Amino acid sequence: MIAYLDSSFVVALYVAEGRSAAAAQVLRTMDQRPAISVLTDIEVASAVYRKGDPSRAQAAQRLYRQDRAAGVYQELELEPAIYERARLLAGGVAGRHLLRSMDLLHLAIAQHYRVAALATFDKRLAKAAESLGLEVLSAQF
Amino acid sequence: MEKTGATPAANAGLTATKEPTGPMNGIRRIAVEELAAYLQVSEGEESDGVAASPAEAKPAAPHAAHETLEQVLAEGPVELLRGGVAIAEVRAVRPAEPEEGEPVPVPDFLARMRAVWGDSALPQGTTAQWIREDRDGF
Repeated sequence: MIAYLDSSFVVALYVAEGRSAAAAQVLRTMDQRPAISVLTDIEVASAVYRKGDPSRAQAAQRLYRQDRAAGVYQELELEPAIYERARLLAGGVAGRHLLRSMDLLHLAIAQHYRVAALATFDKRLAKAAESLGLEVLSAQF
Repeated sequence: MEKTGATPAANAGLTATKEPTGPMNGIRRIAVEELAAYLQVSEGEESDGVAASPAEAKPAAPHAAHETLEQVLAEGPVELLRGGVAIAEVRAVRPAEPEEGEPVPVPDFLARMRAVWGDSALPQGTTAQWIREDRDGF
């Protein structure tokens, strides 16, 4: 089963917080490499540098990049059809769940590649994913 | 890293740039005179990528002998400067694809975080909130 990791899940693997252990445990149970996208790269970098302690942010970002280069994750490419799918989602689930463009793109990636599950710690994205029939991992808030 | 999709990977190698880029483009810059320091780092001198102190972590430190070039490139491309002008951009090549069925070791995330954060941890939900605020424009 391939699971797509939302950035809210990934950051918890690199910045110690209350859900870090749960995130690590979920990853250990996966039988296939989890999936991410370049959107994850951008959001992880933005989050740790904007919000985190500078020296720890540097370490977190470095470890994430190392894992990425080591093949811990598989990357789902942003193909043109994904943008169109995201646009269509904007007229559907976006309003019901107060989703933003980045939320829609993540959902569109998950749908486009027919991943089995989405791992997220974000309530709005989790509810939207469930409404689209995706299994949501780590949705216990 | 495996890439799923039709677009071929095309970011390997050394590509000269015609135009110097501005200093605020977010790309780390290394003077060609400093490059040797990165290339001469021995295995025994490599850092574990975890415990860089704030002083050590300054971008493009002239004496970054504790970092290998591979570690620097893991964070993204680097511009090489000669006389203050960018003459090339260096990117890490994509790693070899894992063989079918070959397991990729899952890092010990918690142990690594302890090395960085010690026993301290942010309140539950903090990092998800960071992402949400970013998406919401806060």
